[in-house]
Amino acid sequence: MSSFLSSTSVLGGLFILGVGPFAALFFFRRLTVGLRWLHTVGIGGAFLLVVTSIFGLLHPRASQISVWQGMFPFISIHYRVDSLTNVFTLLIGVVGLFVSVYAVGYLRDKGLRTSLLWLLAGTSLFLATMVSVILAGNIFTFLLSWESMALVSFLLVMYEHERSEVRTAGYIYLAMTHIGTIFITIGFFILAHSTGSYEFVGMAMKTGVLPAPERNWVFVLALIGFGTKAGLIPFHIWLPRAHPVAPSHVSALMSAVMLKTAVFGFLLLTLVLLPAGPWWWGALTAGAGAVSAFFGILYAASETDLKRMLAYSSIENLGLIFLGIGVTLVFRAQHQVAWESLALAATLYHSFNHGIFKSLLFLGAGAVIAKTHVKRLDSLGGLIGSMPWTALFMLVGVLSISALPPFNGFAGEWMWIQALFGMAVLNTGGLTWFAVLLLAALTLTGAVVAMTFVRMFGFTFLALPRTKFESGGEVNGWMKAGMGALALLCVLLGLTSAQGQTVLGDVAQGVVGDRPQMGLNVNVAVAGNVALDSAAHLNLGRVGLVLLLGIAVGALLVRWLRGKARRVVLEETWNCGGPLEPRMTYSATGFTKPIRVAMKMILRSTRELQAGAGEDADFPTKYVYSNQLHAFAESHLYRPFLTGTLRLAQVIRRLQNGQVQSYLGYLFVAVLVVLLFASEVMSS
Amino acid sequence: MTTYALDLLQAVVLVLVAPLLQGLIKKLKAILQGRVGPPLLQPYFDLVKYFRKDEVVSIQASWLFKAVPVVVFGVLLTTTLFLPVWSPMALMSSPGDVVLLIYLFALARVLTAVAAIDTGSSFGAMGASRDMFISSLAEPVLFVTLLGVILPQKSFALATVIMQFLTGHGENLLSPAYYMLFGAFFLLLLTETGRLPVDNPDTHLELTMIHEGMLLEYSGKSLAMMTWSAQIKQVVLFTLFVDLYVPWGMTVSNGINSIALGLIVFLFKLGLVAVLVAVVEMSNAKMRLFRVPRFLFTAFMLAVAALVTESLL
Repeated sequence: MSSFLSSTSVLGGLFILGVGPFAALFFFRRLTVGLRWLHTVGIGGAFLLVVTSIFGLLHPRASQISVWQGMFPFISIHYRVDSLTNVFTLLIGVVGLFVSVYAVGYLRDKGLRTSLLWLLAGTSLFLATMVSVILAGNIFTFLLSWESMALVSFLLVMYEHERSEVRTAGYIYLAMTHIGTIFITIGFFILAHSTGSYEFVGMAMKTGVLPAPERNWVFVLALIGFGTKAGLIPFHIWLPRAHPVAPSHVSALMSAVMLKTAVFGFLLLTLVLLPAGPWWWGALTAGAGAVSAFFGILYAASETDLKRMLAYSSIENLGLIFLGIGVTLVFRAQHQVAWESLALAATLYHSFNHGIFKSLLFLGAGAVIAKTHVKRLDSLGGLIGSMPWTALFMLVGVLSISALPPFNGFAGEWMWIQALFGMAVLNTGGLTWFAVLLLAALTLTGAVVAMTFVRMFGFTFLALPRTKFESGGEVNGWMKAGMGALALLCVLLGLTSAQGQTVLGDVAQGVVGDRPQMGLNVNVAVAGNVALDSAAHLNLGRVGLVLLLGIAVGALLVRWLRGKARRVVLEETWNCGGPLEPRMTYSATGFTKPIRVAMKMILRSTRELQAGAGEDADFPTKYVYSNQLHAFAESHLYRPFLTGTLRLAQVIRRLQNGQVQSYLGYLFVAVLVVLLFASEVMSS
Repeated sequence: MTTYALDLLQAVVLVLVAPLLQGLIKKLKAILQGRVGPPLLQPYFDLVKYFRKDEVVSIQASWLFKAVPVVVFGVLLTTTLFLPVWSPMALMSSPGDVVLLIYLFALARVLTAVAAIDTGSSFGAMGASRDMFISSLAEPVLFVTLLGVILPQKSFALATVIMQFLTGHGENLLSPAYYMLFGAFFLLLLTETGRLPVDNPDTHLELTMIHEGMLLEYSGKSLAMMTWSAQIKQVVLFTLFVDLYVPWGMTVSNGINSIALGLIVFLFKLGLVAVLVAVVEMSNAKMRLFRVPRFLFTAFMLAVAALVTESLL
């Protein structure tokens, strides 16, 4: 067993997922065989990833593998496995596995088309490139995988390229992800230039020599670069466009897993490669995260497109994760090792849990859209009757994402609250205030999440259907299996939070403790009498058990108290005496109206009420209501930049006047400048 | 074993006292308004009556509608296990128990809101919308207030906070922060228990009700469970308030006399809070929904001011 499973066997999954799809090229003549092969590759590769990552977590051992050595030292493909990468490859494996299972049923409903072969091959490659990003051992491998991941996911987003909306989204995504990559590349090369090493392991040993300004530059570049990929506001504009238009199983992978590669990259740079920075690194990261979380969920609360709303919620969750990283960095700057590992463990836990429940929610949304062909919350409703299983799984997802005990979303939130409490207690003055503000942001966001997802569930599955749509019934077994397994994981990861915290606490301690530059001034004993191990006390399994007992006792009590009253009469919902019609019921847009009114100052929502087309303006029988949120990032950042660039281009265009004389003149000036420059260099 | 039994007894007392507290507030309000009012024990009679009635369920409702009252009731029963009543230790005392308590309330609230939407009734969905809205604004205020209370004690466990309060010599009573936090928490108490300037517990006027709107479609034993749950939530929050701000009279001994004394003191304190609530309810009209943010912002600023004072002193 141990000869088969070693710390590097996680590469086996990478190999299957990365090479398997190409074998499909031989299957073009026999489409069904090709699809079956690709499904097997996806499920098998992801399963292997899960097994090997779990093995790696249980037997932590860091190792490096050289796959290919190029001519130059920096052009080589090296992989590296340690406990941190195991956490992320496990996430990719678990989500990839159940998404692949779901995809079997999801694609079956789409009929037989050659394009499905491409889609499925792309999905496997997408998983492979993400694993490759996580395992990358040097700059070249990382950037190569990062770029391949961006391109493969771009192609997957463009799957339905016949629609212009999809094409726009795809190109915005492509542009934004490359802007992010530029920042990351510059950051990496500053590191490589100063340390003289392209290998992450070697780099980490030497970054102590980096002068402070360069460290700060690398940090800021990493925050912008990885923040773009993670969808932090204001670099988020691609996310709510690109995620919803992709096929649902791809949206699930993008939101649940691909965004986590940005989290991983940022952790790699700030916690592993760079030495401890000043406290403002943490404050900046946490602040950016809090802003993204708050605005992300406000946008989600107002969004009525089912999948776009989930995409905004991903911005919110990634914001919370960056808030967690920020708190980690603050503790790191203060050499509070124990607190640092607590905050890091919380962040890792939430990253993992978010992957599970967000993929579940995207798959559920995909099931709803596939069966009804409706994606607007205001038009849906009443699906719990025709899709009882999907509804049940989605309810689990909703309770998890709302961070309610005993589901998995609560565990990370709980640990963060502890960490913020620690930050408030350990510090005085500014940082205490900052911790209080972050706590307020975290809990406010959490509560709006609950409202948003009650709305999502209520107006999709409950009450009456608001419009007439064809309900295609429950989804097939494969899709149910994929969603069901993820829902089960939401429950299990919640109930086993104590074990999860132990495992991730070890990983975090490994990251925190492995640093070669860790000085002697580390204060392991925590200031004050704050119970540090309090986080370990959260045993959601116990809470879940007590809750079950409470419900059982309650049910027995009711049985005893109710006496002989057993009759249940079925009646219409009371509607002030009239029959209840779908258009009388509350709408999803109205449900979160109070939030928009209260946040009027910052959301600047505008509404328009017009008589319907061709209606008498004074006595209309039909109204058209529209509601728009002010898109700050677009109007204040991207639009000015675009118009500025275009204007500059207009100015530059005057040079191109088409006359030979002027071009000769340019040439002359250019030669002159070069000569002057050269003589300057020579003389100095 | 005896300790466990006594801890469990604390929870049982809370569950049983819950309707009494509701009756007491109603009676006090009636007296203050110069009415005779319902008997003190009326909420018990109501509950018994509801339990014995047949149930009417909407044909539009799904299984969730029927399952939610049982679950919510169970969750609220569970919350009583976290609260010290006469002894500083409760059955489920652990670091961070306050956080868990707040999130269990959130669990009950989310389930109630989901069930309210289930019937398709506009009143239910409207109530759910408003309840979720108000609670989402109250949540950060609640946490900042709690932080203000526990920050000087440097502990996240309710039992430790209470013990440090009890063993101290009341020096925190000298700090202005104590009174500001008291005020902030009291405003939150009114909000979270659906009391008068925020929500009117006595109304069934369609456009103003918030919590009652969510219960509109319930009848029979389901209504009994939902009503009792709301009463338990009220008593739990009142107890939390009493525990955090005036924990005197608690006892660590297991003697029958000291427990009886502790229980009497506890009930007395609960009664005092009820008087306070009744006076506030009597002298205030319900606010417009969009005034509530300002109301909660007041509480937030009080809590922040308290934190500033704490860090300065």
